[in-house]
Amino acid sequence: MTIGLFLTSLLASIGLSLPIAFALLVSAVVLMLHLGLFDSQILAQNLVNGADSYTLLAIPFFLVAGEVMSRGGLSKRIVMLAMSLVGHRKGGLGFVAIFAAIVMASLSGSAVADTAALGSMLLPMMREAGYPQGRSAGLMAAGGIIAPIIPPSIPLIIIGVAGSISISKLFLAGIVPGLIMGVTLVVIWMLITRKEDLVVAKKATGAERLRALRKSFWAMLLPVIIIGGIKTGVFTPTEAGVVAAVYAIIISTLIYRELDLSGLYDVLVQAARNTAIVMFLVAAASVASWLISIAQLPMLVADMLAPLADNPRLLMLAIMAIVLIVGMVMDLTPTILVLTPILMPIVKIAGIDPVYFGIMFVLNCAIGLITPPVGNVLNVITSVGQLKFEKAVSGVMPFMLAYLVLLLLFVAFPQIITAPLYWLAG
Amino acid sequence: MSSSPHSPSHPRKGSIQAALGCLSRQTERVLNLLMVLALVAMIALVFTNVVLRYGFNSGISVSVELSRFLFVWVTFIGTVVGLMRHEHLSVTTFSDRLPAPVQALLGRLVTLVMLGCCLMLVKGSYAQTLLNWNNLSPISGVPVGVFYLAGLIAGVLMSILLVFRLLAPRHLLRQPRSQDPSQERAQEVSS
Amino acid sequence: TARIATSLPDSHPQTLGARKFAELLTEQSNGEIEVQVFGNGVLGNDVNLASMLQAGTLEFNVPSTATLASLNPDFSVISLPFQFDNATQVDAVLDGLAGRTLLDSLADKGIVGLDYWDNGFRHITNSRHPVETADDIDGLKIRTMQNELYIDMFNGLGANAIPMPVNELFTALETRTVDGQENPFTVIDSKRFYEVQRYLSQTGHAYDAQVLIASKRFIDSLSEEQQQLVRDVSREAALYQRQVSRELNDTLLARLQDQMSINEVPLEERQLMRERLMPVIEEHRAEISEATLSAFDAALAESR
Ligand code: NA
Ligand code: NA
Repeated sequence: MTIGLFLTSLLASIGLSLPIAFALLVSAVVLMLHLGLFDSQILAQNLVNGADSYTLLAIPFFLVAGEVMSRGGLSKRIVMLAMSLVGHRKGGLGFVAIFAAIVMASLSGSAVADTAALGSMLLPMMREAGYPQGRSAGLMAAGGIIAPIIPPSIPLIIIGVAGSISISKLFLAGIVPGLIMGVTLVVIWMLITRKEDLVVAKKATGAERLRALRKSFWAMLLPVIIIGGIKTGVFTPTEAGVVAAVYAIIISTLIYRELDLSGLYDVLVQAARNTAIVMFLVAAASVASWLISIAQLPMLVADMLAPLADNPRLLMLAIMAIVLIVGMVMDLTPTILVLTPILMPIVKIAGIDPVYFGIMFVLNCAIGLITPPVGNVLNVITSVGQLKFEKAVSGVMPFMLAYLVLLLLFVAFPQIITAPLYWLAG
Repeated sequence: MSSSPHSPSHPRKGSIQAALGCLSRQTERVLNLLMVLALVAMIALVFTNVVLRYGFNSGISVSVELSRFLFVWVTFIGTVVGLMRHEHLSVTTFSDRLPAPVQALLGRLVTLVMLGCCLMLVKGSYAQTLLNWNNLSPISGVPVGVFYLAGLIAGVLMSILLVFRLLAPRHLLRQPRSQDPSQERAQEVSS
Repeated sequence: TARIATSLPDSHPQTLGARKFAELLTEQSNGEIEVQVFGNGVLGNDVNLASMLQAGTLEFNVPSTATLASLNPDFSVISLPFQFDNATQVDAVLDGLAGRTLLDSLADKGIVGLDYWDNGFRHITNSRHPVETADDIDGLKIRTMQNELYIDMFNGLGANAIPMPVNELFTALETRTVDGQENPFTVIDSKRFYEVQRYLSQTGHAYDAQVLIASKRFIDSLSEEQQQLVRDVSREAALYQRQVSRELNDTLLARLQDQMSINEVPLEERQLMRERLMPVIEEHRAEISEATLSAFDAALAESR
């Protein structure tokens, strides 16, 4: 009853086009009325407390780093490097896109930003070279959602805070599944382009490759600093974020010299605005989640799912189905913020590794970004590539199905994620 | 106050629109500047602390507290800017299919509901600001009420904006979405 | 229904005490005051929770005296380093007039102070070397609460004090961002710090009390009789909580031997640490009201 009331009010508000952050506040107010404790101070307190977190400071820092990267010439150099390495192969531009997607994923934490950067650079080239438009756009979208899996990742930071999971471990755990996603894309792309006769770029000479490598050296060093820093324990995720931001600013202004002071100002404005959009969602969700706790919804859900607790795989399958359905119509961040506090107790009872759970959850929501009817990455690629939404949907279909198979594989064999994690985390 | 000789007490619609547009642009510019200053201060504080800790085995203990204050302020100022620019994430897939008059009505309803939330924020954070004004943060000594003040100010600014959207005739409102592609990305970057 | 929230895990005496309090009050009021428990910080951290109490959006919680010091700086008097020798002394001072006066000082903040609970004596853990002498603390990066007294205390001992929220601490210890931290055994155990820290040195540098507090708005809404019941039940729960906490601290000392290398710190070294902290102690005593100081000192002298 209480769960139904909460979900109905939330989904109805979202469906009626209320901004999601406000929809969360509305559903919180509905719960207040239901529980008989309507009080504006509950809203104000939790909204402000929800935004007040030292850990979440990593979000503005990584957003600054990502924004500087795309406007300060780092992304461009990565695409150029990819071009010189794999551009000459059959279906070459597709492999360039996958390679660049993986490298950019290790610099930025946002699927949408990466998709936009990749798409605006590579889609025009692919169109000119006669690649099928829908498929190319689909590949960009599928490549873009690797960003939240490979560290740094804003969704992993958010689920870490929402579910009290170690963010450092989440970051380390994301590396292998992110790479597997890339390999999956390579395989699918090879199957698709096997029969097509596509123009390929001239093979780059050794000297050209070396030059591209040298030019992108400073950009390629950033993931080494971030992941190396977290792995060796030099930085906490928040500190890694600030180091990444300062590093990216220095590279783009002093070394690449593609960003002047006014350009930097614009980048900071953009990063601050993006921070606020994410953080207001986090804050609004923390109002809702306070009332969810007060209404003891997590316990109700735990009771409902309790019969599955003996079989972690089956429970995981059920949870993944729920997340997939919610993720089809809701964006990644709100899905995490709403479902994590509800699902975390039963996950703990069933003895599922919380780090594994966090990765699976984010992977699932990331796939939701490329599923109709609502998929933000699809929206971006539609507007960047100037094609019909339906065409983007059919273009992304094979990649999306492959990802779903991957998700099932990870449900069946959690070791694929946990084994490398514990090897990396030492 | 300057007015044209033909309509001494009744400025033309166009000039109201221009004045409002100018006011909203200036407001946005000021808010942007405040956010950038806070963001730069946050980066400087946390980065200096990292350098001091590893380079000199020392640190500034107020760094954490101050950067949290700034973070909350960036969040709430940016929330206002996001509302001004219609950048808060929403799902219009379903409402876009409704007939135009219904959409217009729905738009008003949505604005009204948001106004309700903002008024609750104003009322609640006003009480919290007063309540926490004498609670001092343990390290910096800044009143805890300063956190809630951010919520209060954001609530007031957003309420003003929403009341205006609710009452003002359609032609005075700015176009909801600009065609600037960088804005498109801004909306969705939380993914 | 009333709600009691805690910030520590379900296995910690803070939450165990809260369960006892909820159970007793629900039972003895014949269900008229039904109390629900929200442990593990699900409703917020200690600072958030205390502010909810003031606003009346939450009925009970159990913050550390270090948190209450931001409402009334006099609460710092309890955490001054090397002040109490044992639990009997703690109880005598806190249950006496000095402690009661401090509790009553919260009334004008919209809070009713009910009773002191035990969190135990605090000890240092770290990943570098055992702290056997006062000099061993030198240069260690120690995480402290975000509280000025604790920061000054550890800087005063020669450490590099790094204030940090507790929810980031495990990762910081694991990745060696900080070398160590300081807490009672019950927190070291319930937060699983033994997984990432090798050495535990029994410095017992400060005593940590928690305070069961209620929202004044809620208490005022109760009948005279019910208010008395809350006080009686609070007393019973406090005695239970202190016993559980102290027993657990004792058993944990034995149990943690399997996970960590534990050492005692000789009395003369602890005295040396205290001497080094005299300037810090004087500085912080200067911020506490004269009345509180004299009442406290008298009670302390009497308890010895
Ligand atoms: Na990433
Ligand atoms: Na979707």
